Amino acid sequence: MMDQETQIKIQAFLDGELAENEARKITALIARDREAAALHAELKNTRRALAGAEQGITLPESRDFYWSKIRRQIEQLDQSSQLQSVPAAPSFWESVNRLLKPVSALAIVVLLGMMVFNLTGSDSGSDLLVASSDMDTITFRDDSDDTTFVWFADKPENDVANVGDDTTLN
Amino acid sequence: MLNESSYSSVDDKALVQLAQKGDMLAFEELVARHRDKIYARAYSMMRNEEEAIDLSQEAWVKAWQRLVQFQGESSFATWLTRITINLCLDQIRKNKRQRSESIEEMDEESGGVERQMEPVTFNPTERLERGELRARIDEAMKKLSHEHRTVLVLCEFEEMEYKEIAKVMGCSIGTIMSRLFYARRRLAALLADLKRKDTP
Amino acid sequence: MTARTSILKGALSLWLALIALSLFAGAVRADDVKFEAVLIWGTNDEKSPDPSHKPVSEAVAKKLKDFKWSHYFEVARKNVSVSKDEKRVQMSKDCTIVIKLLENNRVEVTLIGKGKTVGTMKKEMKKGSCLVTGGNSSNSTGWFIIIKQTD
Repeated sequence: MMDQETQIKIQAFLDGELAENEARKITALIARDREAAALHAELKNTRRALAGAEQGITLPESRDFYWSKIRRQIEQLDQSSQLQSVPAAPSFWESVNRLLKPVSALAIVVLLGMMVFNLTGSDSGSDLLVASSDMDTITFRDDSDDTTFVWFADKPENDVANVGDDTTLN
Repeated sequence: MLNESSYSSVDDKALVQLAQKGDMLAFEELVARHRDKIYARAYSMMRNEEEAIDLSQEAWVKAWQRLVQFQGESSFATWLTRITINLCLDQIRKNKRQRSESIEEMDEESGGVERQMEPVTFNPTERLERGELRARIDEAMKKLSHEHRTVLVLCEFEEMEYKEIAKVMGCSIGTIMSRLFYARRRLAALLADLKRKDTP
Repeated sequence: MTARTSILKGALSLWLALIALSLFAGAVRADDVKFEAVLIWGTNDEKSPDPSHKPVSEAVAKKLKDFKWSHYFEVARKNVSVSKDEKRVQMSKDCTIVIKLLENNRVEVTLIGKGKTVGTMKKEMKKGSCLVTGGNSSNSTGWFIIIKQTD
């Protein structure tokens, strides 16, 4: 049986990691020694088997869903870095004034709108609001069939449906 | 910014430049192009779908954060793959701290058995359809420990040199060579075993 | 103009705005609104351990195509009629949804799992609108609740 060092050198030879003189010695060994040749062949077959092994692996999520999660994380990071550069808080009166100026303008517009256009109560907003204290949520929409998706994430197990326990689904 | 449909005809280098200026659509196109490859690398290392999805996403987010630092010294895909590998290695180390080692893994680390194994003299993957070969390799890779699988992935898929692998994994070249040798021999034995089971 | 004068003017404006808004606050629906709620389990196993679960319809499978599981089974289906008060619907032993009608055609849906609120969503819905919620479950499976307004 070959010693440990020789076996490792045969591997290194296959990987192109041996210096030239060592590589020549291993080449000669493989040529004359059946055991060395067999080990070299086995390592080479394994390499060949692994080549392209990753090609069949594809992401099991759709483009949109996968991207929506990445985008959301990026947006969260951008928001938190912006929050760190918030300017100094205005004085109390300044805050109150700032709040009420647009409100007074809005009040006038609303009243005018009511009188002139006789608006009914409908608003066309279809914004989704999601609140969850324990979970992260990801939302996206498929306009083609008026469907909104809300995914509750960041929890490996969820308490809504647990098939392992028969009683949960009855 | 370009028209949404134009991004698909732009090369990676140009997309990176656009993304570096904050063009999210350009970055989305990069994600669409390379997501399978990045996921595949994460899956090869972790052998767990959910972890691979999470880690690959994290890699993309990190890539976005560090995009200004990317100067084109390698291809974008190579750069991103390295980010993915580092994240996977961090996760492997974290997982290892949280669980006790199995007896099998301790045996693997102490080593020796692979040097006494008889070489597998037939090619266990000969005449296999591609899909079947992948399935067998998948099954065999799952049986390796994280350390052995990692060194195999870095050598065979990432084509890193021994000294690079040693640096990334934080161990000696000798340890890398031993682990790689064990991983390959074990894989050969597992593939041979699978073939024997299938042969009537 | 002093700060106080400015504030008094603003307060008056606010009061006027509130009156205006309250006068045409969105119409409360007079009739009941009908929904269909379906609890679904996503798995890569070909069969569900519970024989009463059947594979989802093609239409539902199409909605869930973006998710990673290869098989989806219908666990429960309930038809709900909601009027002024909220309606609680028990989808399974541990899963309840609460549907409440809000103003302006908006609907509030709360998911409760094992007595704990998972989340609350508010959205505008009309006949045909669909809300699909989901999350991971144990053993690498997933759960979904699809709520569709049917009338």
